[in-house]
Amino acid sequence: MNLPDRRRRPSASPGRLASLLLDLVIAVGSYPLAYRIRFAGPQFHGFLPYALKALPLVVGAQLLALIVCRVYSAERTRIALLRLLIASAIGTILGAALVLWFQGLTGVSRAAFSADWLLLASALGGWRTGRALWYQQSGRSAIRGTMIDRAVERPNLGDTIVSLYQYRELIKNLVMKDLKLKYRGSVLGFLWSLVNPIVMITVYTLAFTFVLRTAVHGFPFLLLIGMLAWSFFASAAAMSTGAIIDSGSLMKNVTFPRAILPIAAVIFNLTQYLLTVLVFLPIMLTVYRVTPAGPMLLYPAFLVLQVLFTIGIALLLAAGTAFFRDTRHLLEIALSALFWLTPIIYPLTQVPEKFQLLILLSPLSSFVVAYQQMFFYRQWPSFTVWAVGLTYAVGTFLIGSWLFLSVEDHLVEQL
Amino acid sequence: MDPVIVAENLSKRFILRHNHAGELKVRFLGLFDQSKRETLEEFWALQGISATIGRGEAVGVVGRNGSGKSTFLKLVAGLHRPTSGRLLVARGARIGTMIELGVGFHGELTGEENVYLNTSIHGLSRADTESIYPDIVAYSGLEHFMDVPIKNYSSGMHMRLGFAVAAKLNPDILLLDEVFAVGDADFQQQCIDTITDFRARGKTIFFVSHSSDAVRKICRRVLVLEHGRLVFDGHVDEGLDFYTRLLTGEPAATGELATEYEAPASVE
Repeated sequence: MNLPDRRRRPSASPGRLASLLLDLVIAVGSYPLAYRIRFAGPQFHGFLPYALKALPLVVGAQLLALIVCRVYSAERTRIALLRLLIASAIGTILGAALVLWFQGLTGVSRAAFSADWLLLASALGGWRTGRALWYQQSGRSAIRGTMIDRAVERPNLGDTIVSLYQYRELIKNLVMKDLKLKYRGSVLGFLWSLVNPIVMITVYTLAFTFVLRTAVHGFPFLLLIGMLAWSFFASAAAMSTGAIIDSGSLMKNVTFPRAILPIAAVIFNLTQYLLTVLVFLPIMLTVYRVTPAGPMLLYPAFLVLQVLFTIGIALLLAAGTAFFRDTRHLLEIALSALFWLTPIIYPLTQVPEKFQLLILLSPLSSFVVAYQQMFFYRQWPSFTVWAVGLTYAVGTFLIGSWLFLSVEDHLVEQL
Repeated sequence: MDPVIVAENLSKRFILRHNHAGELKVRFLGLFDQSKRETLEEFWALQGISATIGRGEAVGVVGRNGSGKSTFLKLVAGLHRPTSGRLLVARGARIGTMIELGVGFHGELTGEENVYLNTSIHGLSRADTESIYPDIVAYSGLEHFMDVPIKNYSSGMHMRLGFAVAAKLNPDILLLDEVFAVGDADFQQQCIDTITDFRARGKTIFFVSHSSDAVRKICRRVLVLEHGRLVFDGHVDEGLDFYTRLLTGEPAATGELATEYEAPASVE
């Protein structure tokens, strides 16, 4: 059959050198930034000279690893992202080894290397994802005069966002349907959503006050903040795995932007979360005599970031489950590990100082810590929390959208 | 004639996955046992189809099971993406599909809630739905059941409500796939009347069926598909004759259009 194979992509791109240069600039910026995240204020200035001395070795090792792992020969493919992740890890480890070999331990921070790897991988992956989304957007136009060519039409982020707005009634109806189905016919109805947090908080408070004796003053309040934000994420993630595969007949019969299904799952859980917050937050503020403070105004900003992050994850999980049914089980395991890696039932301040940054770098920590800083400590979220939260939210959202849109056409064939 | 659907050398390839490696277990077993490894096979559901359908035409598509009729319809609907060739569809035309009726209905919700959910799946706003809601209810004849959960409906009621929603969405291009096969004589008559009315109002109809009676009632033009290829395109009487001869010409076929018939694995 002499038909063109759509999977084939241009093998050589003239922009390889440009990509390499951009990566170089990012790598040079990323290592000092990692030190800035690791060390606060004056400490940072003490460590900066060491960081700058080690910079050429680290950046050199990272770029070498990127080239050796053939990141530049597989540009613009999905596999490049995976290679990038591995190559940047190898490069950073190699860089750390070289620094230790030539300079010894003085002024070298292991936590800064981990932060450097995450920053580098997300920045390099981020701009590549942005470029891929741009190519999706500016692909060959499907419009032929008064007609549209189904063979050329491709999902892209711009059109999808427009159609999400056009289909807002559907999103609203899907969310309402789930809310109705959840509470219809049960005596307590919405009150059930409040029972679970109350029981959890009671149990953990008893355990940490009387058994482990590590509780800080006002522990139930601290716990509640993290627990509610966590269960929003965890239940949205769990629900999104079924969003595509459980809507088989719909997918086979009606056209609509498929992204609506996982997004509706996120919004349903967001609604529940907000209703619960609306009940508990005034109670807690009254009971613990917390006076409202300026930083609390930032709550919506971090909530938006967490929603973006959750939508990105939900898109990945919904499409991932369609192609790979084990995703559900892997998610369960990942969630139970992630729960303990997020400072929910322990305050971040109780973590040994050298692990604090690592805990903060776990995907959900920045959001949870931000909420705790605003409401419990009544502080403005720190620079590190902003940087990590913003990177994770935007990065995950872009990667999730891109991967979802690039497989959207094939989802129905997987059902 | 103003074309609304144009296919040029249209082909669709499916990848058949034997031992689909969607599970870790399958991947793991595949490491040891060659026969359990995932293998991919190409299957061309449509090959080199070229046809133009004008505004207001009612076109029947006949062919055996597995001949590619439904795939053709799903490509026009945008449910599957063509592998090669061109498939032009009029921009801005509202496309209505009747493949299964009552898709997306949820048993726990009432008839009314389901209507609102279902119309929004097709992109209608609440105001749009409110304006056609009385028509939908009247058309389905289920006035007294709209506040009852759909799980308590009979399958006939379920279908009537689904059909009423699909009909009142008022599409410009109506894609029908075997919707009459189910339902009693009254319901079938209502379907035929609705579609005849659509045709009278100048809507384009693309009708996939095994029933030559239904095709004859609705369509003037017929396409015959055989193993993914277009083998006839012309007047309905000649086309149905052609199709009957095609069926009887094959030794395995008994010649009845309405019977289920599996296409043989190899042709000729």
